[in-house]
Amino acid sequence: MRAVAAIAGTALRRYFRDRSSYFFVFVFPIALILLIGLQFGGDPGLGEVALVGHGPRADYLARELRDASLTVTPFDDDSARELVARGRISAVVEVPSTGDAVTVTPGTFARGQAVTAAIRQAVAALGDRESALAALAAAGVHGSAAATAYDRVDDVGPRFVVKKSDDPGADFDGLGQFDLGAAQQFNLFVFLAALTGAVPLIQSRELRVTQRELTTPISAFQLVVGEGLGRFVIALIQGVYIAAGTAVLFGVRWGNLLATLATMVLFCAVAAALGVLIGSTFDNQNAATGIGIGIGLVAAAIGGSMVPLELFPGAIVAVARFTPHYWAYQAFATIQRHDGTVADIGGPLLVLGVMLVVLIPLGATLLRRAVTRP
Amino acid sequence: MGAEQPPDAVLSVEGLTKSFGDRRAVDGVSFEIAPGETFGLLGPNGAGKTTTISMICGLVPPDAGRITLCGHADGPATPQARSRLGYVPQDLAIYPDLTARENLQLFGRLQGIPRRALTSRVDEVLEMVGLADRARDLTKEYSGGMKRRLNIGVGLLHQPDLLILDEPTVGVDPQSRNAILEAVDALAAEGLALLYTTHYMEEAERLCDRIGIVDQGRMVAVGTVDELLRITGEADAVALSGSGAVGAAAAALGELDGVSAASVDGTSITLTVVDAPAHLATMLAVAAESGMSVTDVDVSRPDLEDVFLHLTGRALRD
Repeated sequence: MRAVAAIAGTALRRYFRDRSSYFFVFVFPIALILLIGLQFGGDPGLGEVALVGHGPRADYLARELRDASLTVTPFDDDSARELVARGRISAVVEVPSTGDAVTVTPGTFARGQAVTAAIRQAVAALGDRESALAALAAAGVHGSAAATAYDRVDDVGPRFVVKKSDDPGADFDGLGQFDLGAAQQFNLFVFLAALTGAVPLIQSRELRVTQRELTTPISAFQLVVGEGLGRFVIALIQGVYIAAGTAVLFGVRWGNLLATLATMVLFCAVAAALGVLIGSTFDNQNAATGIGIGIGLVAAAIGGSMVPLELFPGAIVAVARFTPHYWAYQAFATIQRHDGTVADIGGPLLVLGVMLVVLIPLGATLLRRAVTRP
Repeated sequence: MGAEQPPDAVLSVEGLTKSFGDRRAVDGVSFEIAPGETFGLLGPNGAGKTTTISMICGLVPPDAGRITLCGHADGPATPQARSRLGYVPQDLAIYPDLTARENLQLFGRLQGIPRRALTSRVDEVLEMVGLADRARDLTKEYSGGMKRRLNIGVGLLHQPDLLILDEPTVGVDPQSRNAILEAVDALAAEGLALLYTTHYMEEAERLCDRIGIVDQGRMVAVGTVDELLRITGEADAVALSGSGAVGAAAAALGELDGVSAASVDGTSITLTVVDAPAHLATMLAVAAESGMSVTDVDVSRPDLEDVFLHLTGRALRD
């Protein structure tokens, strides 16, 4: 154990002796948190829509759009299209004063599809209203009386709510505005950072220090555990820092402390072990860095760290089960959305534990093989 | 080449064999080292010295053969055996971004030196290798010679029974080289058993009690310097330099009585000759008849270079 601690301590000492490490451990996560805050925090609404047109139709549509959390800015001419093209607003909605069709020009915002869907819904509501008013006029109810009657429809009579059984929104019940993104970013960032642990191990092999260490009474297993432990501590520091930062700055609810810590510890350990495995496999630092980032991004993408797993088709979810991100995501989802405890996340923790148990001996075997190559 | 192991041998190697793919790097190497003995492995680059050492240190598993290390029949497979071994690799196997003290403390902990003893032992080693006043500096700020001394210090830290030095003077400036050789001399004088590999015959002659000559993975001879020199039949080495038909001259000279070996290196011919002065006139005449114009003649007593040439037909530096 003393040897393992010595190797881990040396890894930590070398990591923090490089001043650029402080950027990645303390500055970069804060920048990431701010980025997430800008994306999720402060309730900025769904987006900004330029509304071109005047009259009752335009006024009604503006109300509907605002009800859909869109910011509506009136425009008198087509210059709004230029703003969409430059990405300054989310969409342009042109409303003729007569009964002609409404024209929608969507932008390329990250949430463009959601904006377009909200506009469609508002335009559909406008269409429904005009159809209803036409029907009322045909039945002899005209003008403001018809409009007043239609606008009071929601205030009278029985109301029906249609809830689809496959509604993905139901999966996110219990989440705060920022909670999901914080857990996703934790998985993405900590994993990527831990995979960079491959580089110091390759450096040690290039310096022949690893080989020399293996001539001492320690085993390859102890060496891998020591190297991994150093990376694990760094990953955990980063992880706890991110969690604390998001909790303090953006009010993220991480849920049960013990369950969250258990998930973080196992996830960081798996990430660190995989970093050591890559460092034991590859001889070239650049190749290891590229492979590490590639694996980190792909695993994060299919493991729910970029797009929520609930939105994936079944085939991708089946593949995602091979990533540690998937299991950490499931654990955080249980903790954050359903007030889960350690007992509730036993399955994901077990899988992460199995991954760890497989990765460490595999890393030791590959490290031993790497140092015995001629 | 005795595979017979002295009862108190620090190291005994029998029939050590290792192949990498189709290439046999080490082929049945056997030798032993007694306590306090300095044993040299002498051979050209690629002869199999480092692979042999890697097997003794436990870094590379042998395909065949047996290593008995400090009484442990399983050789380096057991941590107890490895704890009796000090290893100074050819490369500077130290962290450049740690200080000398930190490097020594790391390896001291890996060697299992108790915490309290480690501090004083690190101080001793820093004094021993002359780095006490630079102990807190990062080793990347050291000169090449200082790094080499620290590299040796790491191997000595845990007071091993056997210190293995793998070509410790390769790429070292003459001043540092002398310092290293003096340090090795001092260690030998203190009674530490040493296994020293080199392709510099003068180092082997100066430092080693016995020398094993390796070539192409095989141990071709083992003995003291005098024993090895006798292998050549106490022949002299004659070097003829010049121009013209050097190859033809070498072939003709190789046929002469008393000439046991002839090799060509560019415009020079190296001959192994018994009683060279007696045959010198004849050799010059034969060279001239073969079309070689001799401009320089050098006659020297045999050394390990000649032994190697005699045993392998090639120069040690090839």
